[in-house]
Amino acid sequence: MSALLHVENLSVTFGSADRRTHAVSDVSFTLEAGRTLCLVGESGSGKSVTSMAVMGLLPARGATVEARRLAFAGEDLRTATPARLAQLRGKEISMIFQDPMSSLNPALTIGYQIAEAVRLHEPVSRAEARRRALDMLDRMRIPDARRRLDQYPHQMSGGMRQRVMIAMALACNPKLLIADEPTTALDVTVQAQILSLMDELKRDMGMAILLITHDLGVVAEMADEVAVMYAGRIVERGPVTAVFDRPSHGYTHGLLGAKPRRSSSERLLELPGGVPRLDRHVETCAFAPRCRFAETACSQEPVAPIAFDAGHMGLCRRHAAVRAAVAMQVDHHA
Amino acid sequence: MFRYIALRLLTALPIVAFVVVFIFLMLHLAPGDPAALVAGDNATPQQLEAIRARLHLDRPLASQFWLWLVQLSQFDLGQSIFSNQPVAALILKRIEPTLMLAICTMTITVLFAVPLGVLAAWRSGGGVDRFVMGLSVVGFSVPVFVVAYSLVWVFSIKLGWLPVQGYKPLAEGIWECLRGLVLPSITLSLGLSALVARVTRSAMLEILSEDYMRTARAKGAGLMRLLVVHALKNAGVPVMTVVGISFAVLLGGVVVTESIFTIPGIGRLTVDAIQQRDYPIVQGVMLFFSLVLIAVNLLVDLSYALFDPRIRY
Repeated sequence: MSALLHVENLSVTFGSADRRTHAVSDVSFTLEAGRTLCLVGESGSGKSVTSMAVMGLLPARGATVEARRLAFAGEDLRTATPARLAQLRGKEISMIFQDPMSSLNPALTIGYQIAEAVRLHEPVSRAEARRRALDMLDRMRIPDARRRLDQYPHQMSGGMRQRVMIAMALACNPKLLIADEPTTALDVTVQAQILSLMDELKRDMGMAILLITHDLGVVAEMADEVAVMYAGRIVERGPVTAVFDRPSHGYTHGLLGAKPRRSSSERLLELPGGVPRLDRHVETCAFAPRCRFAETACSQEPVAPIAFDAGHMGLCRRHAAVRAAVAMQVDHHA
Repeated sequence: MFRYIALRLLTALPIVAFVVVFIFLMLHLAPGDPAALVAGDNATPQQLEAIRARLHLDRPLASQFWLWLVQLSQFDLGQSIFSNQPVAALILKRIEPTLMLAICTMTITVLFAVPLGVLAAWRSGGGVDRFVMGLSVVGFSVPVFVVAYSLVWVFSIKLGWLPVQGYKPLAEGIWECLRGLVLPSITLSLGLSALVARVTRSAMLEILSEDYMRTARAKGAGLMRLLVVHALKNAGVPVMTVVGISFAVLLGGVVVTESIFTIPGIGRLTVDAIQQRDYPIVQGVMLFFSLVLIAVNLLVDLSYALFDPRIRY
């Protein structure tokens, strides 16, 4: 089965030749229908830029997008006209954003904003679009949906607004949903509700989800596959169980170590240092300066992708050492 | 909302009261004998006496004020010293040209400047943006009479498309009336357009970088829909504010333009009255203008609710 979304060697740079920022470098992944891929990483690692590049939402002036392949359902997104992209957006590929407080238009009613998503892509009457909007709100389990249709965003809570965002994104039954930190701005309880709602809709509608998050708890809950990003690159990618059980990159190891465990009395591992500047294109491992496994070669020689086992790959010349360390920790806990 | 309107009108009362007192005292604050001031330099003692009697200047100040209030409550603004016509009627006669000129000017300004501001923001730094910048320099620095006479020279004298000057009342036909208003309206709207376009531009610039604009693009909305439906409605409050204030200023009369095009509006009434020291007219116009300003401000505030649903009265 061919992949729904196929991204190969995607690079995004901002700025002009003399002051270039390499936000995303050589990112490759595929996503199949009905699956969830999580992009994980710190702020500034290029997760959001990757998703914006897929949506074609990066500013035409200022951002340069290059890719060997960027295809959705077999269609090349690099050569698609702006009009074609607008057709795809909201209909085939939908997106929800981090901050539901600022992502809805304050001057338009909820009903208008959801119905608009329908009317932009399907030749339906106003009344029919409104009925569909009502339907979507019901599916989002928004109580008293009929009254909510005529309300404005400021009259709703954050959780409600994110449900509205999802209703809007799913109004045309998209094949791919890109969710950029959809629950970061919400309470933990609301967060769980939204995530289970998304998971349920994924199963019902058979859509694929590209979920961007920095929350490993969310990843464990939602992901089929994980791609860990650092400094604009995917440093490790694979099935969620493989990456969580056998992390093979110094950064993934650090990331998992920074996640609090209920049973553990150990100190939380912290990652020393900060995200590197992205003004130069680097071939060596960008994480080496912060990595506890690093050796001299890490910051001197280019690093190439290494395949571990089925679908699990990484960019780490010290993967054996990382795995050994993980194995020891597991033994220690046992 | 009616509660809000009532409340606003109530809070306007002290302002009106202040204006009334100020206008009343205007005559008495000026140094010297008010009657002499009114009568001018070459008045005979008999004339002075007559003026004192007519303006009740021979009575104590408090009772003068009371008489003036009683007058006002009957919509009587007194009589012109020179023509002896009631001031209220004089102002009323001048309202139509001024109102027509203000409406035409604002229509041209809004139709021209708002799209211009939107385009300037959408492509900031581009051609339209630079044009708006240039327009503000021209609009704010070139005097009205230069613009007016240039327009007259091109469109009336060289091309002969439009009348040189004069005002045809609405009663003589709407097209005739509008034809005479084209050039003065364009003259006035030049400076105002620069203002409105820049306010629109800066409001839009902020809005275009908002998260909800990204949402609208992610939905697949086209450019026109993005700019007009999603962005412009949010820019309504600042744009409406400057449009409203401009309109109020136009209603106060625009002296130079009215003089050049010989439009018998409020502005010329005021200037003529000041030159002739026709105090009752000056007082009446001041009172009229302050009431207009209060009314327009209230209307502008009420219009905010149309653009921003978070505002409720």
